[in-house]
Amino acid sequence: MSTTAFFGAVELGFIYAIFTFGIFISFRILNIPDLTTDGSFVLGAAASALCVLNGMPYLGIPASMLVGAAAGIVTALLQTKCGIQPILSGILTMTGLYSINLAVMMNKSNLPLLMMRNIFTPIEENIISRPGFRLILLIPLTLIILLILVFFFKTQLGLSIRATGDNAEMVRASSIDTDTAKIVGFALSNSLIGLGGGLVAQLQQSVDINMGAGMVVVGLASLIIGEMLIKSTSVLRGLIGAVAGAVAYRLVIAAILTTNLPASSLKLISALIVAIAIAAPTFRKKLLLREQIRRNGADHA
Amino acid sequence: MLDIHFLSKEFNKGTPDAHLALNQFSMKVTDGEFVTLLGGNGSGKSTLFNLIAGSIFPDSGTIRLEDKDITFLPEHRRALLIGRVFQNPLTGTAPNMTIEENLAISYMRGTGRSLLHRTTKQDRTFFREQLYALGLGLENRMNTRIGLLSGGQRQAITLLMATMVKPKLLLLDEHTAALDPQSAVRVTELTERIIAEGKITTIMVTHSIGTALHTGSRLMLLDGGRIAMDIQGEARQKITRQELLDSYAH
Ligand SMILES: Nc1ncnc2c1ncn2[C@@H]1O[C@H](COP(=O)(O)OP(=O)(O)O)[C@@H](O)[C@H]1O
Ligand SMILES: [Mg+2]
Repeated sequence: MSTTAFFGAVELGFIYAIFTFGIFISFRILNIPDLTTDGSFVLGAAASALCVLNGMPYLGIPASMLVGAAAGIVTALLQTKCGIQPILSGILTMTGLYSINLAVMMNKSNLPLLMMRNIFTPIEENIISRPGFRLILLIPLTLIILLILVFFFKTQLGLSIRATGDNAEMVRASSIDTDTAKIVGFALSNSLIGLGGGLVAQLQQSVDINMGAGMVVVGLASLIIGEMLIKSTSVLRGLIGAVAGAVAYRLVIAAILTTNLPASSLKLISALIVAIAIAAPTFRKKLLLREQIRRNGADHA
Repeated sequence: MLDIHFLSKEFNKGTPDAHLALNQFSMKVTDGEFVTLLGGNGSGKSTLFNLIAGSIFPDSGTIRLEDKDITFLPEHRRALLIGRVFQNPLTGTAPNMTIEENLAISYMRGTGRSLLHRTTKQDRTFFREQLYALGLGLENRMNTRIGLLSGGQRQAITLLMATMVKPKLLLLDEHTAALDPQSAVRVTELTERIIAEGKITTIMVTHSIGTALHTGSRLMLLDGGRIAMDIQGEARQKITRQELLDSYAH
């Protein structure tokens, strides 16, 4: 792998780490599969692109978070106030967002941002322009968000959200409104997913209406790889795992790209990683059971 | 204090499975009273608790607590006033959160703190004292995940969580039934002590006639969603096991 490819992967890894924080919040903390992701990622990217096109790249950061949060709130309301199943709620928002995303992108399926000033331009111009220069911004940003999240999940509101995902029945018996907890959790989760999209847009200097396809699986793959590297027993460890997993995932992808495998096979590989990782414990249990049955049989013989 | 008036609840209304779980049920519980509630399976004890706590709503009737009509108040709002412990020790605590975090959640009840408040040193000292009082050595394991504790330990913590901020009413639904005999005895002792110390108004469902007779100040027997017996004072002192058993199977 070339230095450029390596640093490119690490840069993307830190952006995807922020995105994976969002996946961590819905899938692990709230314990609810949220498929809004594929839409809120593009929505964040589109909002960020608009800011870039209007010469305000930094505004792209809060803007992509805000629109992502709004998408998350819609999904949460469908779930809590309208009684629609979690998976379907996410699919509905994601589907609706496709039209909205196109509208935000001024009805173009692709928005090129080349030659436009973005949040990374000042670093390149004033500090360094070696491969990986974007990390000067991305590593601190990821760390700050990580610290804020660790802090947040220790507050009363954060504890309520965690408990809602862990044991909703107990939460209802302790004066916390689980609906509110879910709404805040989904807003937070999707704001980070939106921010991930917004940063990817500025890094890759383009937005494509289809760039969100399969992002849930990418996020899950990163999360699972992270959990293999760092056992998640607390929010802090879970988030550090998300960073490690996202960077590792991008490096794996970059490595695959150096082989003869076509780039189009990446989605398949991501899906396989997730399927195998989730299936592994089941197979391990079956193998252990078979082993035990065999041994018992031997004992009785 | 608690005033229940003509409360009725029918499940699966209008279907062949229709079942009147609570039938024009009325009762009053005064401040500081400790009611033990007996009744066969399906007699409506849990339904009564679910209605009082707001997990379900009645077809008719009213529930007043401290002169406030709470009949249709949302469950989480009522939780400010009502502490609850269920039969299943897994129900009352969040397994993947630590003892301290679980206590912090129940401590939110009625403390009126901001949503961004974090557990302070004083809170932690208070939690430690409370755990110490349980006598299970849990005060040194505040950062242990609850899921790693035994059923008895979890139930003791649930009890603590339900009473740490003194509730107006405590509902205990066979909360020792799923525990091994030793833990059951310990949690029962603990329950009696906490209720006595806090003078907490309590209704406790139990299957043990002995417990029903020897704890609390008043005994009620529920049958078919109605009160079959309601005794206290001298009458309660005098009643024998056999008389109670007889009124079960009428
Ligand atoms: N959610 C429900 N749906 C239908 N029937 C119910 C429901 N909850 C309780 N019941 C019925 O109501 C009756 C009273 O149940 P319950 O209050 O749980 O009794 P117990 O005194 O054993 O706690 C039982 O016949 C039970 O089957
Ligand atoms: Mg019951």
